[in-house]
Amino acid sequence: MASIELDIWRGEWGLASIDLECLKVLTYMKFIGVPVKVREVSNPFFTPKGTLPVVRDGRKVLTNFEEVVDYLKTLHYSTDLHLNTKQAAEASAFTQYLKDKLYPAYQYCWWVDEKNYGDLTRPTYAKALQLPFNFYYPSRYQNAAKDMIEALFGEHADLREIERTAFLEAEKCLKTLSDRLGESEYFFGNRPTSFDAVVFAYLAPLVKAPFPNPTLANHVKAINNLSRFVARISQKNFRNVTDEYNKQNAKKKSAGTQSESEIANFPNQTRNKILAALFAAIAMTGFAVANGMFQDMKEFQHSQDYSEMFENEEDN
Amino acid sequence: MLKEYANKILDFLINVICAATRKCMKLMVNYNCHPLIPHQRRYTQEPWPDNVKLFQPYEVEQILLPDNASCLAVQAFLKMCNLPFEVEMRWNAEFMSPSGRVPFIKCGAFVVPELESIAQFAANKGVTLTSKLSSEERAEMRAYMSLITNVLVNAELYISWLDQETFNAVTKVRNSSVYPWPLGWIQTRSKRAAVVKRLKALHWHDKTLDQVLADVEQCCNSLSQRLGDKEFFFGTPTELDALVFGHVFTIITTRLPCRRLADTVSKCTSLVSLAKRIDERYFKRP
Repeated sequence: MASIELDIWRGEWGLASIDLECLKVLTYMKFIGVPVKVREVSNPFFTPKGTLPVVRDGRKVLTNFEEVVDYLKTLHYSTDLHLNTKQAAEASAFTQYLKDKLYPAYQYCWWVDEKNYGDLTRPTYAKALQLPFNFYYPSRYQNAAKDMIEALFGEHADLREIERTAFLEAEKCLKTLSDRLGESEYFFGNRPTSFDAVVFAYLAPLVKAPFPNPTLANHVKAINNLSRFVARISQKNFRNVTDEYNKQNAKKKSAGTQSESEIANFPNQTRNKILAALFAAIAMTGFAVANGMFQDMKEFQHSQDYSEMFENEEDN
Repeated sequence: MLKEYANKILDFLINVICAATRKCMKLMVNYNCHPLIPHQRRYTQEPWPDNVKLFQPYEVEQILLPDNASCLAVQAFLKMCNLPFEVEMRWNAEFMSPSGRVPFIKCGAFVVPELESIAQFAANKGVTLTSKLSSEERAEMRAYMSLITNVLVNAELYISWLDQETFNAVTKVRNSSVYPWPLGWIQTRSKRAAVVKRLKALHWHDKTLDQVLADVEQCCNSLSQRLGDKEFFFGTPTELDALVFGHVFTIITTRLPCRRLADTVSKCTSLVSLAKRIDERYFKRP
């Protein structure tokens, strides 16, 4: 049973993983308590679909949340056994509802919004990826998200219109979720289900990640019972991750944050400096060669007359 | 390789021609319409006018499975609300619609497309079917409507446009029947490309027919479990019943070369009897 391996994107800001699908699978596994080896992978090149998460159990390879839930059910690990058929139907309907209304807004917020993508998403994924791939994968994911947004909201020509419509739908969806949760601990009674894992995976990044353009994040934070839901699950299931993040935060605050944040924003400062110096050196050498200065230098070495060299320079 | 390039160039030319055609068709609309602007709330306080028209493509020769389902759902909704309307069939209905999708209603100076917006529009005028529902039930209703939009609509699009048999025998013929020859071929090609793009973005393009039908079966099971043996989903007829009626009735009564979708849906007897009940009550002439 300990042969189940899970490869996920690394975590940040007190989250176990920055990616939605990874967080869904990880939260579900934490709910069930199945023994699993979690690995933070920095290279999705060798995965079947080029995305994470990937769950491996012996020969079996699974890549999305629904497959993982079904597979764990066959191993008799499931949180949904206490749901009757009506609740199970409701859970599947609500999952589709989230996918229909909240997922487009989530993708827009992460990938399509220029400010968020440039300042938050791309640096985070670049940090998580190895060198050659951090140019390729973030833009690939961005293109996929842009295609989806265009397919769903194609009739609006203006990006701001799309943002407005998507966020309006998401707001309604969040309000509906909040109404459904009410004051109870989880969505279906007081035991967590796969649906709770899905909702947590959507909401936690929105609550915890520091978006430059925080419209959607503010909507979520404004809803009290949803924020409490996220905090509660974080506390119960991801305590070591949140504690580590809080410790790091406290250290940063005492050690001076400026250099840390700069290094976080520009992870390759040394590399950039060396490349710049090399480029400048090559450019200057090329210019010198083009102007025939090395010829002059050679002649100067042979000639003993200092003033002769200056005469030649003036001629040029 | 050469074939790929040829296809790409062809698609680009077709896109240009279609954009031009669409512009011409928009000019051929024979009256002035303004799409509903949200801040013009004072206009929506007027009561429902008498000359509301519902626009859809021609029912006998042109309309396709997904559009037929949406149109029937909207008609059922309006009948449930007791709002009078007339059905007008136009060959260019989808181009006249502000969102590009049918059906749409023309209500005074406003043009409102698709069931959700029409339900909102009616609610602004004080006509709603969900007044007796609690907020939780309304949340559930919206969730189930999303389920149908995500699963049944995409399945219908898949069967109509991606299943080769159905596409060649039914969709191509019906879609191009209202245009003169070269335009019909171009229009169908461009519409198919748009549908393929949409299904690819929603990850439905790579599914096999069996996977699509499995999703449909799961969706129908969820719906029939929620319905149980009640008369309607929430006691009184709501837009969810109208939507379920529109899709289920269309799927079981449309004759396609591929019978499997109709068979999958007919297995859920409670949904079929709901559809028949709504048909009896609202669509049969006395």
